[in-house]
Amino acid sequence: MGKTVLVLDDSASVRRLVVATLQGAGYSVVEGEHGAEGLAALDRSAVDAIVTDLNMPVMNGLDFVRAARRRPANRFTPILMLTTETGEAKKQEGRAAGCTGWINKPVSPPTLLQVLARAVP
Amino acid sequence: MTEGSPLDLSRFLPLFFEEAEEHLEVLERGLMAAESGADPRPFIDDCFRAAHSLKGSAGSLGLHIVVGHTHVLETELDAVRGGARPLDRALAGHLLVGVDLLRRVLDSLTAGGDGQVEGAAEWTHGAVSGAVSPVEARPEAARGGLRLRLSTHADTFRCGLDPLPLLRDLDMLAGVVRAELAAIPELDELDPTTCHLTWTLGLAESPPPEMVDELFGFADHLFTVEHLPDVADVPQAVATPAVSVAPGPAHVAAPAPRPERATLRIATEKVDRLVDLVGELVISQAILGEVLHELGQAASERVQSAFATLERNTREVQERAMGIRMLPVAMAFDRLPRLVRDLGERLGKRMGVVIEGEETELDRSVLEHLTDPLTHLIRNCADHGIEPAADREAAGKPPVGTVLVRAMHQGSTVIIEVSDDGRGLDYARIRTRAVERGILGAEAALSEAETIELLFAPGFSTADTVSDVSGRGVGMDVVRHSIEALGGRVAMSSKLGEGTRVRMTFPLTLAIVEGLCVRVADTTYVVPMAAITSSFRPNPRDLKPVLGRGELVISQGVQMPLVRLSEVLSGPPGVEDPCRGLLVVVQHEADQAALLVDGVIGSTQAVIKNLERNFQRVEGVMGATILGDGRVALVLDVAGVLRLARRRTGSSRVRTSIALGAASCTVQP
Repeated sequence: MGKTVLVLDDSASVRRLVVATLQGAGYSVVEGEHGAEGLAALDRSAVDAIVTDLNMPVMNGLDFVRAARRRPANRFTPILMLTTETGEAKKQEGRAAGCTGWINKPVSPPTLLQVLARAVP
Repeated sequence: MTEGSPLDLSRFLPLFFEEAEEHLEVLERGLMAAESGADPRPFIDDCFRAAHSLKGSAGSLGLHIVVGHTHVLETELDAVRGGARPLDRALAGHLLVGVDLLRRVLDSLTAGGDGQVEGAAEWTHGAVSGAVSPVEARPEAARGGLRLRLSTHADTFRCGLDPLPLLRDLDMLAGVVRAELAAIPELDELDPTTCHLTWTLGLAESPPPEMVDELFGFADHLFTVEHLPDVADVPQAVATPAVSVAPGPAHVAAPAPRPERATLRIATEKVDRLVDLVGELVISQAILGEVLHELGQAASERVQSAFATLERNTREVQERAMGIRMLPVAMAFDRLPRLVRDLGERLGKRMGVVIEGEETELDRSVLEHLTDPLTHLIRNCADHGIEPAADREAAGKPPVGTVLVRAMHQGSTVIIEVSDDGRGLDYARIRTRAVERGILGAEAALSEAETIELLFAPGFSTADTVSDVSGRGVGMDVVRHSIEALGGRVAMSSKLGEGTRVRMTFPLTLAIVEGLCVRVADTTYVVPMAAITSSFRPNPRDLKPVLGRGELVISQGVQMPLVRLSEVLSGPPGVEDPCRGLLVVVQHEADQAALLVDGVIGSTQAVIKNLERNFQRVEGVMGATILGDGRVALVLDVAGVLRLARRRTGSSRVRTSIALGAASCTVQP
């Protein structure tokens, strides 16, 4: 069944890679450049999962996750964070914010799909 | 997301076994080439892929024992593929032993066994003596029985993670998963968004660390994975999980963490008793209805409306109770691809099977007895219908023959068809052979339908020469018998060179018949609605007494025998003059007859009570039922009535020309 994923990344090339990978696997995609665009997208569309970058202008990934988790509709939506920093402190912070999981950059399409499949039953 | 129930999974097993056979062949070919000293490189990728997809599909079907086994093959082949080790003779030989063992595991599972094969577990764990153990390279993996404790962080749910899919993946690695329940608070203290779950995993096939990382790494802020101490601590059941996880013959039952779909196994007798009682309920309700009807205005409106509710509820209870007995025909169809494949192999013909409508539901008792006739029909298609590939191509057909098996609903019946695109029936030759064998008079001119009837005749089934020529007839009488015993009908049609189709029609349920109540003198009979084509009051000019053949009547230009029910069933005689009574035209296969009755009472849902069990078998009667007014009526078996009528009037021409005994074949003059 066509699930919808929200993709947030300020880098157009990363976004294109992620979007193409997801669409190729049958997902529908909604996209944005930063957290604020992401929140606006969540107002418009019901999504089954979110894949977001950590460092973005206007509203970064963690702030976006916190805001998204406050929305009743997205309280339990799987949110995967694309990141190069996976230190313990960052993970604590991510858990407190409500991140579901981490995907290391550079993004490998098979890994992305695999993780998404695990996180979105 | 829907849960796969054990039933759903087992439906895919025949297909899986077929697939597995292909993968095994690929593996065997490649490994044998390597063992004989050939350059294995061209085969390695194929072999790896075969092992890999075998593991994947086995995993999705819950066949842990196969997963464990193929995982070793896959790992080794992957190492070879990546250049980490050469595929020398010794390794190839060892892997071949593994393939052979795997084949035996699969054979055991195919035969409904538990897949336990001597030596398989030892091989998986690298303990086969003398072999270059492929898993010695990774000693911690070789031992098997690694234990992990997987704890979830309280925030797991709040972070949007459902751990269930992960557990399923772990399960695919032959894991035993046990939940530690101690940490779960009482219900009134339970916050449903807080995750309290901790599991102990026992993995027979200890996954390499990177696999654990692959599984949990993406969310390692929510999981803690601890390696638990020694295998020796692991209870026996955990140490050999392939035995204990999956009960049931085919190892497809869901292991612990998989929530079961709420199903209940009930003894058949209990269901039958319930259905029986519901039948009684329907009758009581009908009697009550009759009483109310007689009371008319005297019954108060409240009683009337309460009765209407009762009627509605009764009907629903009845439908639901009947539904319990219904099962999808897939249960009878699922083994057919394997059957066709085996037959094709044995006969050296190329054929495939197409199955349609497998979700169609049918009464359980019908379904249980459908296997033999279906097998018989398919064997006929394979044996006699479908031509060798060369003949097919010469005839401009695709070289691979197709057997089409489909099920569908049609009104209150379920139709099951078995057809092939083979050579079809050669009517002329069937007739010639029948004449040669003295079954048919030389002057007899039979229609195609009548020729097909020959194939259903008992004498024909053993006549090898004829069946070889005809391409049909092997045991068709047996098929017809079993289908009719189930309350169904069989019809065959065919076109020379294009194929043959056998169509079986079953009533949706055996317990209830939609019928027309008719009266002969003071006796009431129920005629199954499905058999009735029309009813009319004849004019004297429609009637024709024929010397020695009883009476004939013409209805809509068709001439048919007139049957006096009182005579064939030895009941009290009804009206003498057909023009003062009513004729109900019934049909069974190609046979038609007009039943003379005094009048029609109305339609009814007859709950059939078995006469044979309670009294004795009466030819022409399907069973008895209790009518709304409390009286007992006989439900007619139309095929039987027609047979009886034929016997009485003795259609002389058929008798002399076709010595078929019970063949239901009338010849219209």
